[in-house]
Amino acid sequence: MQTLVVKMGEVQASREDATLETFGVGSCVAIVLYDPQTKIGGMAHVMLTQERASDMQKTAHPLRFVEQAIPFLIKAVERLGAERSRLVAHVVGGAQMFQSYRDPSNAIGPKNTETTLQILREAGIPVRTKETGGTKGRNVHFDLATGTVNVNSKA
Amino acid sequence: MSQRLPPFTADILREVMNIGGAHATTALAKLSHQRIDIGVPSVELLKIEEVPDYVGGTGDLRSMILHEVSGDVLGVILLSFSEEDAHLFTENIRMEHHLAQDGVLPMLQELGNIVSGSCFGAIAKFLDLHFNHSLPSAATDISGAILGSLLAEIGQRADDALITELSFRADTLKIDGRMFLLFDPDSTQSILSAAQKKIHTS
Repeated sequence: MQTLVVKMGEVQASREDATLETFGVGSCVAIVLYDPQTKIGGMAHVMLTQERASDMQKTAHPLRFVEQAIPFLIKAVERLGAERSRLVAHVVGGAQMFQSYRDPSNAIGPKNTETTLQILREAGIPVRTKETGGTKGRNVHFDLATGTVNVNSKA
Repeated sequence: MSQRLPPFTADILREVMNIGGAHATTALAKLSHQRIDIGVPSVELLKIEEVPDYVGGTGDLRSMILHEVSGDVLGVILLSFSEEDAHLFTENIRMEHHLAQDGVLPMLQELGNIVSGSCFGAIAKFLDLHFNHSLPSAATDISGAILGSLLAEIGQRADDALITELSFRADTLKIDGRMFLLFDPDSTQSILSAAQKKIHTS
């Protein structure tokens, strides 16, 4: 079985008989989309919302941002043959690992989760499981053959 | 991987890391009564997304201490140990100084205070710059999660991060640690200008 590692700021999509993994999801959010009928799915590992991003950043690093990575992920699974109306989502991450000294009000993790859920809601994609918040990092394993998402928090 | 630092710039930054790292590890040596050997510092200007691969082991459990620095530069100092080494090191310090039993994380925070103070104190003095320190945070968690959260902070302001790394080893206890200084790219210019001023006046 093929194992694909999704790095921070990346999106990957695949068909049956592959595992998608991402490591070290802290304030970032891992978004999994899955079509159970075709067993096509994908994963995004996003870092930030666009709230404070410059236009240049949005152009240079689109997959860094929730608002751009989710539509990209939807298109990626659709291109492989997934049906939009059958897609379900799993959302992992958005922890607050530490409080910023320079800007304590800047809670990146919760903002990432909130925006992710809002975009999925607007896209009409139901969220099947949500493991978000807290103060711990997570590793995520997604088995496309079964649609199972395993989240482990080592700490 | 990005390698956009001109050699002369990298040399200056490596020297700055040498100064900070030497003071930090001297503080560690005094505290632990151990000889600490340090490696050759490395300096890279990387895209934010490239940093986790550069550091490696993103899914592994590590004990990390971090201190944010603001003032003339924006940056973070990060000390990273395996969980076992963090335990061994703090236990050694506790016994050497006859300290009461405390958790590993409060001890690591204290360690972070001393190391970061020595490191940035030396750099600030050398470059005539002013730094403010945060309180230290310590956590044993998935390395990539801690790093990713730090990078997200930097990623809000910048495309790249300047990362300098220094590895160190307490030989008798066989403890390996890694020290990283992460700066916003704009801060690189402040450091370089200060270093060049220093070179011209000395």
